[in-house]
Amino acid sequence: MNTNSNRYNRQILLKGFGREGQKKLLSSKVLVIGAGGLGCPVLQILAASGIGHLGIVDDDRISPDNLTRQILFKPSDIGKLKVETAARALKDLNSEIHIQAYPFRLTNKNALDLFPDYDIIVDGTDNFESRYMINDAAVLVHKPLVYGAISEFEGQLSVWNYQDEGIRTTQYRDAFPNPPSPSSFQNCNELGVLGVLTGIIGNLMASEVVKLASGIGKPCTNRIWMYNSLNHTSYDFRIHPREIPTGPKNQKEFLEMDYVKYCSIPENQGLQINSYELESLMNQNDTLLIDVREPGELPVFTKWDSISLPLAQVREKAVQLNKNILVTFCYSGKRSDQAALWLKEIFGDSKTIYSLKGGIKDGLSA
Amino acid sequence: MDVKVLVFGQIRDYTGWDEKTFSNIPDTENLKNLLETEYPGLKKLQYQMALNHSLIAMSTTLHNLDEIALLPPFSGG
Repeated sequence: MNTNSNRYNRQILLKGFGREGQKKLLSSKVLVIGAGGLGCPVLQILAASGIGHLGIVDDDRISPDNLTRQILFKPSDIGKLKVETAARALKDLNSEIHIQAYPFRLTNKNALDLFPDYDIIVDGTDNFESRYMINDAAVLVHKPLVYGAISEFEGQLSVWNYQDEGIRTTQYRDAFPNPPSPSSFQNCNELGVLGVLTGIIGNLMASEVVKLASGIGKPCTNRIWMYNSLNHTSYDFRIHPREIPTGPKNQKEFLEMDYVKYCSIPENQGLQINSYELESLMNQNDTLLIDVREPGELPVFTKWDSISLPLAQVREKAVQLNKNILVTFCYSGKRSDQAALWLKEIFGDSKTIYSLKGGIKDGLSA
Repeated sequence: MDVKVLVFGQIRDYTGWDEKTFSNIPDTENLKNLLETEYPGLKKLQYQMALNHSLIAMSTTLHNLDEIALLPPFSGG
């Protein structure tokens, strides 16, 4: 690619970046999902700095209340498709780069067709189902994922799933293994947002893209960086890999997911029962008690008959569970909650599913 | 023994404060129970707990001057 034009001089001048860094940007392919509050500033600065190939996915059209923060759009663009308008604006900014617009909604049915063509994925979406789906797809096809998200006056930044000297850094599900219940958090449509905040977080996301693409600096991995624009303070949350990943294990499981449903499962409380309730259930023939711990974990549970089905195998072996009331348990109640959610996903209302609240750690095994 | 608790995002809508000191809490599970008793709205939220900036997956013993931060997921963009 041509790096001889004066356009990139100020970047090339930078020690540690130079002509090599610019060449890497120009040969990079970056997919930005969502051309909204975060996507617009990300796209704008990436196009200006010379990322050679930008993909943009969004099925939305421009509305008047986008204009406070979606800085690629003008009042005369209202009603037009975001990706087409963004692509035109970016082409005006920098005609040397290639821009591909995808005017549809990214789902688990099409994500795996797009991701392999790109080096870096950017999540600028505005809902949990997209965020979980994008994370899972990036993990499955081994792509680094630049993540930004906002709530009122605060923003979060991270780089997920980056291969750092052969070691994969943490993914979104290491921080948030399961989606929140739909009633628990409100979104920007309900809470509002200041245009400047998406500009700040979007530009930080773009900075992470530039670092990954050119190989300079240290990416924001294994942590969530939290920014509060009202106080101008920040806070680092260090993230560690979870022992049991909650996402789909392979492309087949990924394609079979229903992310909209997955993120609208109501609170878990309805699935939980205590040991007294369990006792009365165990008097019914139709109850199957399922130990979702790994074989060999202590204490051994002997109070009632149970079968062993470790959490990681719950989904693939669910069909073998042939009773109408299924009760999962583990040591603390966390893994069994997850197992119950998965079984609920599989069986819906055709079976009654419970998780033993608090597990057997408090001596139920006695 | 004092520990400092910081909250972020919409969690502060339930607590009404950003930062508060609690005394004589043995571990993070006890702290969680105390917070959820005092602010029942927290029960329906799915937040993560960090001890001294590090996310924890299970209950952890607390020591004097430890800092606990509650991290909610954000979805906005």
